[in-house]
Amino acid sequence: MRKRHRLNLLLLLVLFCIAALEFGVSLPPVPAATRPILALPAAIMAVLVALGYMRLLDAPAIARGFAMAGIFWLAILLGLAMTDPLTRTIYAVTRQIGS
Amino acid sequence: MSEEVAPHTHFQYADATHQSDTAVAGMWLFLASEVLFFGGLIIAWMFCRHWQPAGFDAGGRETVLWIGTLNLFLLITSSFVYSSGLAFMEAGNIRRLVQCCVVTMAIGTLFLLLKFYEWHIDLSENLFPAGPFKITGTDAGGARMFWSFYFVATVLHALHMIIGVGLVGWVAVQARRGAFDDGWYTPVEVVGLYWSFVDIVWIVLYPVIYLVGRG
Repeated sequence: MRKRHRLNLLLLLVLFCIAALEFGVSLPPVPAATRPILALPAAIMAVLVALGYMRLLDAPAIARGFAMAGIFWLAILLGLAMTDPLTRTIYAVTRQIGS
Repeated sequence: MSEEVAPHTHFQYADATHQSDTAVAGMWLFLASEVLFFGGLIIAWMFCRHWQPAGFDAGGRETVLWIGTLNLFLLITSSFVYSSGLAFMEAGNIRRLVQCCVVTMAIGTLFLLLKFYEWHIDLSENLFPAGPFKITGTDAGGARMFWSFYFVATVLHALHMIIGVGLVGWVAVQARRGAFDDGWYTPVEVVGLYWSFVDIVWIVLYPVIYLVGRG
């Protein structure tokens, strides 16, 4: 039990540090196009919570499979949804008077 | 001759471990569906920000940063407290589990109160996307889209929080009544998975709502 409590506490401190880092790196000016990278620490924190507090590695194999399937389908969902905006070419519209 | 089974084990399971594993796997399957549910919100954010980055970021700069940040630390702490309660339960210490549940509920309630206060500030500053709106000019359209995303995302998350607080309270009541012992505490584990998932959702929402639009 003591080992579990120590792990929980260590994870809490690590999560606090990453959250503070995430907040800190958001303060300096960064180009708008690259700012979504600020979600990267959040992704790391989400993985740590799943592995630590949700004990994913200790879960039954089928539960780990469900978790992986969730991530897999999320990647498919986000990837397919963004193919349109990321690949669409925007052409300037010219106004033709008298046509 | 009837086989002796643990009191909490239902007839369709081979043993208590089989039943517990099935419940945990079932919760993970539900959470996988929740990932896709909230994934739709993330798509909305990515899509809208891609087309209207300036207006979207202008909307994001109006959020109340200190409340969002405080809530992030509160929820991380609540996951730690509940997970500690589970560890106490595994050692048979039910009294500590109940205490951890009460602290978790208190933190969750504080989160919700701060969220209600934040919505009050948002509404009083005319940041609701319909009707008179604080941001005008070329950024207004994108900002309205941001605030539509903001309200949908935060209300859905708050609904999950309310359900979570109720579930943790139910665990505390059941534990106090002696429903769990160190040989059977599957509901404690399953509710913990749900609570930590709601924490993860806020961990992901925090940067996209409060941080990306700033700087």
